[in-house]
Amino acid sequence: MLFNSLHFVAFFIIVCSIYFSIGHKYRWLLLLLSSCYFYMVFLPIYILILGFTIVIDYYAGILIEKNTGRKRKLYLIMSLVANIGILAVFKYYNFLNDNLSVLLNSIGYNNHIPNLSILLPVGLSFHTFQAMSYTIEVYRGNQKAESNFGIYALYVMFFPQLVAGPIERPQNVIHQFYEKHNFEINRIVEGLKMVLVGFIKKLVVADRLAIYVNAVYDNPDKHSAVSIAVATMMFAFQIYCDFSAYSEIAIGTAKVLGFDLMTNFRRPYFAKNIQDFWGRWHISLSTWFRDYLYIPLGGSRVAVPRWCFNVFVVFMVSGLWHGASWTFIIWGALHGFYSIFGIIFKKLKFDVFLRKTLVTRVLSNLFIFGIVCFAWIFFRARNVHDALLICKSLLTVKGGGLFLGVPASFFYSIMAILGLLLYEYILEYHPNKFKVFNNKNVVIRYAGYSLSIIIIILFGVFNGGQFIYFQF
Amino acid sequence: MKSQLYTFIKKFVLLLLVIFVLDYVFGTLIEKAFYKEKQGDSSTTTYALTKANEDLLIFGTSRASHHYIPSLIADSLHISAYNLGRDGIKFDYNYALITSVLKRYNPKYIILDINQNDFTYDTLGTQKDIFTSMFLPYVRRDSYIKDLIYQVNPREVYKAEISKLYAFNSLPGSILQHALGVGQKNNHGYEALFSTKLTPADKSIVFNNSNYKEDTTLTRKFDEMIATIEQRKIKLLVVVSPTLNKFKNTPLPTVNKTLSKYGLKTVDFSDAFASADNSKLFHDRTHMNNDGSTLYTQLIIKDLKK
Repeated sequence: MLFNSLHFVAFFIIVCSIYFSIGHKYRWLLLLLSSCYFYMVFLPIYILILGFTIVIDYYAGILIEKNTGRKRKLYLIMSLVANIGILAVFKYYNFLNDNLSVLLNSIGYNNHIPNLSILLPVGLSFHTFQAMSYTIEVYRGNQKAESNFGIYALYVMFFPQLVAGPIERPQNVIHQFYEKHNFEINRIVEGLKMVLVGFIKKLVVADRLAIYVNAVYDNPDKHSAVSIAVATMMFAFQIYCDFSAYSEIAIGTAKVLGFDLMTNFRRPYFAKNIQDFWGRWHISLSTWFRDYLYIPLGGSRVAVPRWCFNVFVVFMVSGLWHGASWTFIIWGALHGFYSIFGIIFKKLKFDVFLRKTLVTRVLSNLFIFGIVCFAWIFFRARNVHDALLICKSLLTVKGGGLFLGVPASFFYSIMAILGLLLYEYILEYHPNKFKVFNNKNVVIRYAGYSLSIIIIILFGVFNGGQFIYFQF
Repeated sequence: MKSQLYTFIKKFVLLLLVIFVLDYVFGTLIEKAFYKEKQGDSSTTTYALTKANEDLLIFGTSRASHHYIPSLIADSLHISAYNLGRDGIKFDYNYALITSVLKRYNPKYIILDINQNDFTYDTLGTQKDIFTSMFLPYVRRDSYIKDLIYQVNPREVYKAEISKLYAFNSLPGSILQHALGVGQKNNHGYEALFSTKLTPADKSIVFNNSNYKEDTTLTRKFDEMIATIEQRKIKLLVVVSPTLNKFKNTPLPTVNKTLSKYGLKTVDFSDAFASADNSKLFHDRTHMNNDGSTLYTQLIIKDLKK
């Protein structure tokens, strides 16, 4: 079920109404059944895959807790293999097989292994990582194994964050399913405000920008360097608004029901360096990789070459997590290189010079935005060939004017970006000024809410566009 | 909990009321501006649905709006004429427009410029959304248009009935643009294109569109519409205007089969300027420039005089 659909609005109103009408002890069951329905709207049969991993990880958690020594480790490995195995089959099998075919063809052999014609289950990478974090945390002793199968299933399936995160940790969420959540007007209003901001970001900004970005990126050979540069810049804002909108709607809907989910984005394009960017972008995934891959590899408490290697591995895996395609791997590798340069830059103490003035701060913001945009080319392009064609057009400053598409829509896109930047600038540098939704004056608050909804009705794009991160 | 719930419902209802009032106020203002538009695609549709009363009406896609000069036809035949062609449309749009006009009055002549994609099957399922977005602003004022949208997209009709603003989604920018006089101007619906993007070496190309598939609903509607036009004794000219993009599979066999039932035939001018220097007469491969359109309109006038 898509958040940006009337189906979801009706679903959420019904779930909330029943949730606050029934007793606390039945609420987990309602949320679990609602989550099953939410997931089954996409493709009902895939609930079996989710069910399989839930059963495996539930028992793995109990067995890890009950046992000691090697057995404990064995159960953890079994759980991880099951999770990664499912991910490998559904997400990476065809990619690996295709690359094997290319490799065998280059040495004169044919690959007779057929590809699988299966659809990728929605949000597979998200709920697999969330499930893995549970068994790892039980193994580390940070989380007690959950004895109630239904509560564990709900931890993996909780509908607000089931298909596109935030990727939660068991310590943050499971105990909340046992707590009683009353109908608290302030919390509900806070949640609904987040949902409203999410809808503006998705419908007014992301889906509007997608019109121009798709027109250029679907025919990169027909566009000039300036059009490609504008489309790439727009894609940077599109993907940010698309994904952060999902997170805000997820966090907001969970808040309405009484749950606190982790923050997933903190104005990433105001980052001062690449490490800062990754501390602000998809925080739940970055911290997942930090806790379960980077630190186990040795993190930064090793010699510099090994540190750089650890960073590069994490970004390569992050690229692969996003998609089974070389474009995502290159995207990850680019961020790996950026981060390694960042480490070297810091080690050589070059960053000392950049902290002094407003100009250097703005320039470093723009520089980070520029290199992040360059990496987004590989993320968005349909394939490596297209990405290289786009890079070539940019580097050779391919001639031609600026493609406008529908002029009015282009104008809305620019206005949407400027509006977003102003909103984020205020949040970043003046969080206590210019309050609208949180203003003490009720007239300003209501004007803010109603005008936001009017803006959505008038300038939103209602073509039911999917959230980009669903495909991961 | 009950008092909190009561407060929440009270606040929520208040917010809904504020939204409904603002929606009505802004919706009314935008609706007025929309119906006053003198330029742009929407103004052509509005004109067709509300004011058109000319002796001769021209319907079709952007190729129609750029190819037929109503003032030349009017001067030569001493009749009034208007070009109602619009960018990015298919036959479903023309069907709605022509049948809507016929509910108000009977023009003496109708020219229908047929385009390659007029009857193609909508494999992506986007055509009904395009059709809906073009006609949604008229839902509250035109019950016939409302019925047509309801047949393809009933949910959108409900939405437009709940929110007055919704029907004008994404339109304020173009309304403002036309109010400021920015963008292309039209003369009785004719939008002249000047200069060319072609070189003298550019010749026509034939595309092998082997996956061409027709939408039988549209071809059935075409048949119904021709029957009505013939019944009203309106002189109909179904035309293919000059183009440099040719296709192996075209809607012409189906169109001609339907027309033959009424003793009519498509007038195919697609190769009318085959021997000319294309760069002088065409703006791009599918649209003629003002020089080409002037020559072409003379051909149409000759045909109308027959």
